[in-house]
Amino acid sequence: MYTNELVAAIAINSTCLWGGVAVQKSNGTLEILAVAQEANIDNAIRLGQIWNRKSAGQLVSNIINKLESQLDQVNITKVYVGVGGQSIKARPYTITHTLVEKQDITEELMDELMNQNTSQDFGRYRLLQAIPQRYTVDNITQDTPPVGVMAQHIRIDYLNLIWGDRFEENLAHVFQECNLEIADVLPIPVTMGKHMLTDTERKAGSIFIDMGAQVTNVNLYTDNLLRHTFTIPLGGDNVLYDIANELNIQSLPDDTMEGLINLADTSENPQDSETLEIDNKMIRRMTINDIATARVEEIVENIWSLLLPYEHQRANNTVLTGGLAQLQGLNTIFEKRTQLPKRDIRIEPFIRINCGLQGYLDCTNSGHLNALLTTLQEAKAGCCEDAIRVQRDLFGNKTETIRPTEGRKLTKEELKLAKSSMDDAKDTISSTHAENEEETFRVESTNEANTNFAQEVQTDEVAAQQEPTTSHKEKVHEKTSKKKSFMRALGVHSIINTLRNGGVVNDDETVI
Amino acid sequence: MEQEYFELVDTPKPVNQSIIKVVGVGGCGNRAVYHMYEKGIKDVTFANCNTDRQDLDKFEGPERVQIGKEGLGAGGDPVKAKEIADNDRDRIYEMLNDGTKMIFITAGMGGGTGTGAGPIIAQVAREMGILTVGIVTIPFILEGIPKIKQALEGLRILFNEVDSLIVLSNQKLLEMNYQGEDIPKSQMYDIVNDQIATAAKSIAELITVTGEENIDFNDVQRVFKDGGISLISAGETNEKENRINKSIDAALNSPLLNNNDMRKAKALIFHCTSTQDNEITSRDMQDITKFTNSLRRDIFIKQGSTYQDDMNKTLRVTILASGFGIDNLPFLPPELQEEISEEEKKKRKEEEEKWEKDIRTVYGEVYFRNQNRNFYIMEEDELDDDIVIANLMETPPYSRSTAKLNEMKDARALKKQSIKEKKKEIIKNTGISF
Repeated sequence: MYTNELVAAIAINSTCLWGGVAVQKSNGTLEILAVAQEANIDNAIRLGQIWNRKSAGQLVSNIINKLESQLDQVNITKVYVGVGGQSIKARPYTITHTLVEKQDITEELMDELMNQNTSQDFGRYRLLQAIPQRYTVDNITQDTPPVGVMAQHIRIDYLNLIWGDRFEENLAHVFQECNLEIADVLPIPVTMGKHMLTDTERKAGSIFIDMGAQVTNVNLYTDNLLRHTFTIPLGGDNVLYDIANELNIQSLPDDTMEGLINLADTSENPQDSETLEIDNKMIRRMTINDIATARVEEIVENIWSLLLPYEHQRANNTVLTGGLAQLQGLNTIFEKRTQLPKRDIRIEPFIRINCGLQGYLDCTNSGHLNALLTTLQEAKAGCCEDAIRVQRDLFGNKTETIRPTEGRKLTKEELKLAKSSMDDAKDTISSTHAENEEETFRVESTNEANTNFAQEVQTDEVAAQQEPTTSHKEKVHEKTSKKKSFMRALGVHSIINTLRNGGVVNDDETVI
Repeated sequence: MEQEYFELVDTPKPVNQSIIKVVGVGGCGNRAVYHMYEKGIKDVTFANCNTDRQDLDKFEGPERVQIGKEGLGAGGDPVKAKEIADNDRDRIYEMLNDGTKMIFITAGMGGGTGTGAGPIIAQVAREMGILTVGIVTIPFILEGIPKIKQALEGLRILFNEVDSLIVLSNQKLLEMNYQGEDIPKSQMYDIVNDQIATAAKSIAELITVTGEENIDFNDVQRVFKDGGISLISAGETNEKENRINKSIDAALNSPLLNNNDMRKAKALIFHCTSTQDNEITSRDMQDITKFTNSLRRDIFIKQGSTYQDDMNKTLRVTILASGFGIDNLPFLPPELQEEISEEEKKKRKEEEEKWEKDIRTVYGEVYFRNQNRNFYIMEEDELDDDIVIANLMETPPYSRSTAKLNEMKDARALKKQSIKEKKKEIIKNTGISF
């Protein structure tokens, strides 16, 4: 494997910061080589966007260090950044252009029109991505760029995804401070919609809803095109906050979201409801369900109301993903509040990208990685420098880089040795997951053989051996969802305070 | 046409052999007293007061006292009832001037006479040096918000006039007994009457029934005198093992206690009832001490026990506690302001919010389950508005008040208006149109 084939990405989620390094295979699969997570983002990331630049910078550095330590001899210089938080919205824009006379439409003209679109003033917003949607040349509409078509009139409908200027500035500042080049900023709602919906679903029209911890992204697709996207600044953490706040509970059980809440609770009488002891208080499960239902209903009402002006009636499918979508009975609320027939609602927790972490961790079964995986899939190679050995001092700072010899294919003996070494690593991972406080997927592949081995694990036989065990999957899931429910509820409290203070964070590196 | 009045004839005063009198005020209070009268409480006399003669005459047996000349009722207006009672203080005085040392005023809050005349009767009684305890109910949720509001307002007024006030929630009684069943109206009121009777009987018989470890009038007076909000609860068990703790738990977990923390009580009577064969043991006494040790250090505690032959193997623990402040009934509304100036608009809004909170405290999840939620539906511009987001996050939609929702909507309208004005100004100054 050659280092310059690697792609590196960081996805900024409202729950945590994920980083990953992967190789995109020619068959469309993604080979994940390293994944790292920073879970304690409360001070740095708010509503999925960077608030505190100093703390966020530290987190990004940590992620890069973790990734590099998993991939010895790799120096990450450039990353793709997936963003999907507050303030991302769509603004349609149409450009019409008339040529002096009929002539072939050229690439240059298309670029010029795109420039015209991107250079417009978005006020306090910045352009995140411009998506050309439809091209109309002399009254004939097509979905592909009409380069080479002879025409006089051209009209292009763009959908511009924009986001708050303060967030763009924060992002640029953080990565600059970390000496990292931003290869591109990718909107997570769009990348996820692309990879989590089938072509048929997009063609038939779909509403794709990612219900995250602090924000809910909504995409509307019709005719295979993204028509609209918006982000509601409410999510699963608000449900937890409401419960803690209403019931005056000091600590929520860890499985509040996963097992406790049932939005389809139809108990008529409080007495019928199970009574739970939480924080030394006897609390009816019905009350918890009612509080959660109220918040989820409010989110769904908002989604529906914001979709109303658009062609939502043409969307035949509704696909839900994200942590909040895992709540029991969410279907019921969607049916009740949106009059959607039951068969049209599908909950899709996991992404469909065919990939694996070093061949033995099935990332596709962890919904937490959706944002990262889609960002990696959209990234283009060239994020890492050619194999460079990085030496670090006691504090983890880079002191020296040594260019080693080019990578080569392993001999059969070496391959055998590497395989047994990987098996050992697998055991280490299991134990590390149980103990590691930082919740990092630490891959103990520190020798060259292991790195090279990754490209060899494509055969069915080896792949079969690398199938993760159920218990391992569970452990991974358990670990990633272990963040205390109550801490998340507290996070909302601190967000409220920050918003109330006009966005001022208690830190010298305050931005807003 | 000349107004026809009912003739002002009270029933002859019974010869009083008791120091305790239960006075029912208004329709609901009268019904409760009649229920007690039929059930019988040892050495207690009963009197019914009403502004409505017809209503009063329905209940033969207890002493009947018509308040006001007309006898036509107060039309559900507490202010009118208060006025009528205020003008007829002498009659109230007469009713109580028979050696009574303690009265229970039972009334249903939310109507006219009970809510309006109740506090006047309490005032007269206290002026006469009579220990006055109110045992009142607050309406069922299905009786509507206006009645609930009227009840809670009346409650605050009565609280200031009595020595001690025991509040029973009809809704909680209904939930405890029928769990959402569709039951006849009379049955609904039966459970309320029963509960009032049980409360009055439990307290009265602490004094009137001579116990093994006796509790006398002065003990009860010490608990109730200026006792603020009081609570009474009983729990019983047939089991032998750990029976004191089980009974205490049952008593403390009664929904009627309104989640009040017994540890805040300033005075408490702990009373056990059982057969003589089943009397409390030294281990039971240890458990009782364990419980009393968990209370405030400066608390006044009186323990008592009575043998009752029909108890079989059952042990009943009755806990009577007082000294809870007005804060312990957080649903009591602030005193009515007669005039609310324009500047106090904000205050009114807050008050309205408090109302919703108070009603919620009283009725709990049942009220909220039956309410339309005050969802705030954002406009696209607001998705990125920090203040809107903070407001949304801060107020869970489960309990978001209409006042809060209106405030958020008003803020939106104001913002839109100011943007519109700014745009106008720009157009005016620069000629640039949007």
